[in-house]
Amino acid sequence: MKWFRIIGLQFEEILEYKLKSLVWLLLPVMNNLTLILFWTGAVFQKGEQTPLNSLTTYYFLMTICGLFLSSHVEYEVSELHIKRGGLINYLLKPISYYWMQLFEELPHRVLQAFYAVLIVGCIAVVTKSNLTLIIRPETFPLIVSIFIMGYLLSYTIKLSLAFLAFWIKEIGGISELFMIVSIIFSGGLLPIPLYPEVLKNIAHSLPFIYVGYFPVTSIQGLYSVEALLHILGMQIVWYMGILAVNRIMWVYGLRQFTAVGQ
Amino acid sequence: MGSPIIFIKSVEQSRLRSGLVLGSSPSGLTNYFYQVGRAVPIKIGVGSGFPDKLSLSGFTDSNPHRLLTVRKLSGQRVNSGLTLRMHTIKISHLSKHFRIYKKAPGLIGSFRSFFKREYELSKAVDDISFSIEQGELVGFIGPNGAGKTTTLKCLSGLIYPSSGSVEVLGYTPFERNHAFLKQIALVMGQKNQLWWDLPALDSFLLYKEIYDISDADFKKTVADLSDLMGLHDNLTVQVRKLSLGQRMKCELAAQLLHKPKILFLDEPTIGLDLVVQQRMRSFIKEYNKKHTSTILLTSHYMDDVKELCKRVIIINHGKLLYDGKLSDIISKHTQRKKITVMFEYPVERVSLEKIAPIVSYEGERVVFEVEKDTTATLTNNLLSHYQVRDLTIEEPQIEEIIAKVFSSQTV
Repeated sequence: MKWFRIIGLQFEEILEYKLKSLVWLLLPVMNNLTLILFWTGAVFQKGEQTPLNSLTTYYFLMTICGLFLSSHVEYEVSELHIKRGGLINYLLKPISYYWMQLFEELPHRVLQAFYAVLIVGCIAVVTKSNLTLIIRPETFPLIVSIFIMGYLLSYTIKLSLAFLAFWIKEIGGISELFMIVSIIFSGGLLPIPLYPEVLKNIAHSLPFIYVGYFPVTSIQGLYSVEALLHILGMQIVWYMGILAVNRIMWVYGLRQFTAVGQ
Repeated sequence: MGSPIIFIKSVEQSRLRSGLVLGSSPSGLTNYFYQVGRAVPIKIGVGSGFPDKLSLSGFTDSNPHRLLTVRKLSGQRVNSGLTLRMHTIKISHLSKHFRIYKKAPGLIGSFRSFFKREYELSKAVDDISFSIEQGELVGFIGPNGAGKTTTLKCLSGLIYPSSGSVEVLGYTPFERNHAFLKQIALVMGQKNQLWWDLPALDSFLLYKEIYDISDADFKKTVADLSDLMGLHDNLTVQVRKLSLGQRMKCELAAQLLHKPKILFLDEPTIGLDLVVQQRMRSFIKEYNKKHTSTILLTSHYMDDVKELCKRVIIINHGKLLYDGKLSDIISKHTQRKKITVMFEYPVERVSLEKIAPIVSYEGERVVFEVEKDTTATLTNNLLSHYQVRDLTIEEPQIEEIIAKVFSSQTV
């Protein structure tokens, strides 16, 4: 019940600032529209049509999925909670900080994805783009699971990144660098198969691909049930590993916490 | 008889943590060892029989106060008068040191610190020990940077001590056991714990869920708190639109919804006007009385301390300077009194100096400082030999006494 209450309160707060969510949403939409324009130019020069539809779908879906799956807890946790001491409000409550943060962030992700569906839908209609989604009944539960694990993975990675603030107070630069790496290797710039072999191998050995590329391509109908199971399994393995690191960082990080500013 | 198993009623059991408790029968002949665990059963490992009465000792201290009900595992009540007295709060040789980065001013200082940073060890709390029993309302005072808030943070489990031990309700605060957190609250003046953009009532509803408060309890507590603090009109207004006083009252109410057994109040009246300060004090006093809760209060307003606390703990530079009755420290520092006399006409200084030492002389207005015991004699003397228009006898203000203690570093 308390988790529903947290989600409800977050929605209430989001609704207090109606435009804030929309403005943040427009950033990734514009980024991906730029990429679509770039590819449109490149493909038209070659006189090919088919890959463009697939790419447009990919970028539109990447916009929606990126908004839903990419957690952005790092600023709030590192700056407001750890650096400025706001963490004490959570530490004094008999509640798990990990889950509290997750349920506080979830409404933002859901709402942004909802807005993104509306905007991307409108753009697709206006530009007469063909968006191809293939979700078969037998793959549906697996795709939902992949999305949930994708978000959990992204959230846990970002939370761990934010926990670095226990040791190094200013993580803004690291965070930016991390974001660029994660965009590249999650397939945010290009679909992974289009990368050079070396980058492709690196992408497959990092967790980011399970937050962006695989969830997006799974709803494009690219995978069999077995392949989806493999993706889900890998997500779980990554999640467990990163969660273990996250818990260790939390335990030792709290010993560094000085609650300064409060 | 083998090793009997006893258990402590759940409410009390939550106060106990793992560890061995040594007990003995009143005759003092038999020793018992109790394995106190998080689970309900407690085993008596050694013993030749289950005594009618047990007095436990050795549970980290010998100043018992908690009443425990002990029963055989079968449910048969053996003894409801077993007492295990523990301090609600116990700090032993607590120290908290911070490593502070120092930089010389200016660009050169910045360049220098870019290559080599200099750190200094700051002893925010330095080897302090004290204990507080249930129901006590203790003033914890000291100048800015004395280590009060750091101590409160250690007590509430927010920061990890550098050394020493801290025990609150039998728990180690830093482990942040949920059962422990449900029994404490920390209110920091001018610090916001409520959701800024939503009405306080929304935050209250969240706390209701977090602390597992029943609907009936929640309604009653909110109604009681609203009545006591005059909150009715404020609960449905966005927190950011409330005045400081209104917000502080809501903050305090929010922290009391789960009826904490221990309340850490860090400057609860800071920035509030006199009327609201007075209301807050009355409320704190009432809450302490009604719930027998333990309250540790820090405040720079001596009125708070005077009105609420019989006992004070004074610290400065992280060191404990005094722990005892407020009245004792006042009487110790009020051995001398000031007598201000307004004469009908100017009196010669020389003649007055023969009577008592003069602090200030302005002809008609003269201030004497005398030993407490000689006040009556001097007053009689003045009234019988001179024409006195007005006479006042003053004791040093508590603020003066405390300031003296802070500056002299001794009591």
